[in-house]
Amino acid sequence: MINYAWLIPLLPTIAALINGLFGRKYMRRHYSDYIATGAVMTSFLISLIIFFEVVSGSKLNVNYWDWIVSGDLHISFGFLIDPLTAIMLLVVTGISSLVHLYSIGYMHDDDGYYRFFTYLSMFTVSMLILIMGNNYLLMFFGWEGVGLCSYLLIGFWFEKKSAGDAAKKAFVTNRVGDLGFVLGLFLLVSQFGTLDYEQVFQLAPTHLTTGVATAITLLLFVGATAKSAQIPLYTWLPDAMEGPTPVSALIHAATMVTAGVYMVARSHVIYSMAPATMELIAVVGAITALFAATIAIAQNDIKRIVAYSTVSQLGYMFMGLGLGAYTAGVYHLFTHAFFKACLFLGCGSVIHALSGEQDIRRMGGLFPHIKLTAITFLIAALANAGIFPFAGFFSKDEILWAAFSGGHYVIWGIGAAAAFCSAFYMFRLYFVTFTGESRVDHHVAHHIHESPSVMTGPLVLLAFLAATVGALALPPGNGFIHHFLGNVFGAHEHDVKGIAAEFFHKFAALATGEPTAHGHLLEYFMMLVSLGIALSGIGLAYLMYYKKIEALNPETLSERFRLVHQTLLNKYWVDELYDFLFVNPTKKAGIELWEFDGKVVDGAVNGTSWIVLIKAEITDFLDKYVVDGTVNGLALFVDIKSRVLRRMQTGDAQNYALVMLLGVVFIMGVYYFY
Amino acid sequence: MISISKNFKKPGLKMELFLFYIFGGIAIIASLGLVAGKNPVHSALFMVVVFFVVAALFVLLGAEFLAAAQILVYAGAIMVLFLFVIMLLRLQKEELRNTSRHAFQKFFGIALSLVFAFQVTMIFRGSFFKGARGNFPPDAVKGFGGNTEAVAAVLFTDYLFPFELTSAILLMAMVGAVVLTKKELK
Amino acid sequence: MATQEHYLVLSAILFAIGAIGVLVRRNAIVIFMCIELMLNAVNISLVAFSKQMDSMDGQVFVFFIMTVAAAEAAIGLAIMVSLFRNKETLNVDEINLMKW
Repeated sequence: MINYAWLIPLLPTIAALINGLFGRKYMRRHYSDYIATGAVMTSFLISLIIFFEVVSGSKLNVNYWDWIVSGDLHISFGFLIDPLTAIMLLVVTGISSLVHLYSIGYMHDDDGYYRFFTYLSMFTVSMLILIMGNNYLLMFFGWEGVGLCSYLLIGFWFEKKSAGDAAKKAFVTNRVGDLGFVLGLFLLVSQFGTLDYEQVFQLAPTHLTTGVATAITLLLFVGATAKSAQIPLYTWLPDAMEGPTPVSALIHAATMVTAGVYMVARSHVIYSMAPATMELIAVVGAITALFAATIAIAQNDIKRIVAYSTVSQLGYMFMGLGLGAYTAGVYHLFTHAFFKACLFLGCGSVIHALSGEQDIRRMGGLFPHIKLTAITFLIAALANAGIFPFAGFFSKDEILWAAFSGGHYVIWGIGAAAAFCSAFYMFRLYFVTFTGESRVDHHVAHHIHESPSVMTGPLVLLAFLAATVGALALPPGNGFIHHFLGNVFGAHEHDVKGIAAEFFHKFAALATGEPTAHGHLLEYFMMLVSLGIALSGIGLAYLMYYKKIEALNPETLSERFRLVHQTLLNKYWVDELYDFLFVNPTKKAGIELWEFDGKVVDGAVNGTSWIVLIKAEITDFLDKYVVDGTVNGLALFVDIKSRVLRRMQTGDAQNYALVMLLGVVFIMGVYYFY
Repeated sequence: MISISKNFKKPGLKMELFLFYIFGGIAIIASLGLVAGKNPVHSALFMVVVFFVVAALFVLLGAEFLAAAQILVYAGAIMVLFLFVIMLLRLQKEELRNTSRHAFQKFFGIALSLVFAFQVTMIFRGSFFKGARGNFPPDAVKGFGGNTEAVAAVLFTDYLFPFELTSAILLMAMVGAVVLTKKELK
Repeated sequence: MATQEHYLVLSAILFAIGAIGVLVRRNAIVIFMCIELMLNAVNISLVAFSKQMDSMDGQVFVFFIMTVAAAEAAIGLAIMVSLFRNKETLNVDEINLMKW
């Protein structure tokens, strides 16, 4: 069956073509979902069979045809299926099937029904090519494809301005990352003359110096920060929640955003050669994990909370990768896909039940009305918080253990703090939404209803998986998943023998009198510690939002720590900061360039006033935003500035052509003189 | 066609250079006329001259098949299309309006284009294309029975798939042209 | 004899003349003809390379370019016809709708 792997992306392609070309006019409404869902489910079955074949030792690396042949550069269209790909295949096709199924219920009143399924199938195809390709260019092809589909799906309700803006933001932010990714690919080509995984990884240890390896890995990681929403390019992900909820579950939680993680794991051979990059990845991951988790605490939009939780969990994955614990990182990707998809679909079910309400302050007491949703949500929340037998516990703990045993105590500390926060915000969300007295609008309250079974079915299945896939990692450090992925990562896997491990190892040996106790005692002890951390987070949420203890009243607390609360509520003003630092100066530079034409004489005068303006803006900025965090002023500013900017678009195609020729002449000049 | 390419006598070396200068000169003069002409019909006629001269240059370069195709496709089909549309639309002469933006565009357009031509000339001086040679030195082309056969040998093997795709492109162009010029779009 | 350089320089000159036309003329049809001129200039250089490198690939590419040019001419002129119907002009100054 593994030789028929090409069927996996082919089926959704056909579905997307049929729906896209004929969906609007020639098909009865509900044929599009039969086609799309059927295709993806068949792909899932094939993936499942292939997964078991890979478990029993099969491997596939086949080139189907020459894609690009130019001089010495030879890039083919081919697939590689090894344990890493096999496990990604399960995640992508599995979650995708469930989300397709769920969408049948969730989207059934929408006018763009066929359009939605077309995009969804297109996304699945791109993601499959991303993970199945056997060279970097094919990965990039999928990388761009998922970016495009993400743009289309975030802006699915494009008649809503916020949705269009969010889509653009996601697209532009991802372009920034893609630039890094492309430069990384160029560097790879210049070093190896090929982009084929097998050749690159074979040549890498002998052909790369540490410096070049660091440059390549850093550039690729820039791409990963954008796609996988890490600091500093994470701001698009929470905004991406403007898209339909199934999309958030599939693209912005379970699959696309994990592409960066997959990329790093796939390139582990090169990454292992660049310790500086690894260090950076671990630090960025850890900081993102904590940063996003703290933001999630103060948010009130049900989907945004889960979105920030996603950013935070992605941070964990990168933390694991950066520490060299590739298996743990990928395993967290695996478990996270299930519980986060379940959470998002649960959110969707809640929103569906409340006829579109997303603010948790207008929910409450929903448990008796939508029991099934509430129970599955609770299970997924427990998994996200990292409570014992649920999946998230094992993977998260493994990453924390990698940090601790490797001697990275600071990173471990940050990770543990983030774990506390995740437990807290998850259960704040749960208690506020599902328990207590109802704060639902009267009009809405009449028809709160459980979702149809086509929606709850996927929820139950995902909750079941979220509760059980942890078993794959038993016993700790030596489970199925470790052996399975060990085939891929092999010698590059992080060595679990830090200073602390040595110390406790000796201690354990003394205590048990058994010198071969492989630090397991310590590992179990640390498991208890992180379990304790998670439980205390839940406990705090329980006291604050369920028991409503007076001393811990959220409102008085937020009053007392107003600055902290405002900071978190406004997401550390990062969006405003980026507008100020990058967006507006870019616009301004555009205007300046345009005005340069014919106004050279006034340049000096303008320059001075510009400086004054900037100074005034800085003062203005400090004045307005740091003190009370009003956004209106800045929005107005952008509006006025952009009216001027529009003049740069003369609408004269010849003018644009002239600029293009200028670029060509410039590049030719560079070419000639160097 | 085939017999022509087989029995075509190559002009002598001196003669070839002479012919090149003649044709090249005509090409440049005609294309200047094309760009400078005020009446679109004149421009179109100059264009026909350029197409014919380029076909002649193809012959000098030993690409007889392309020379024939050039005349058939460009001078035959495309130019007729152009002239037809110009006549159909009864275009007026171009009005001259010298706003400052036009002057700006004119000045920088001409300057940059000249700089570009100069750059290309400088880069092409001295042959620096030293890559591997292909499989079709003049003798091999003769062995195939001429330029047309040699092009076919490549076109219908390595480039078969793109070749088939061009038929799809042409079909789409045809459909597109019909749809665009239809009186009313529903 | 005429070397490759001769042809390449001629091609560069023709290309530049075509580019000037595209940049300064205001009649859309003339601009379109100038684009065809630029394509022809490129074709000359491709054939010259093909001869120099003893390879037929360059000539095959010219063949494809001709095909695409034919398709492009059909579509482009169809656009012009429908444009003229709507706007009664082909002056590019008056059809600059790509701005605010």
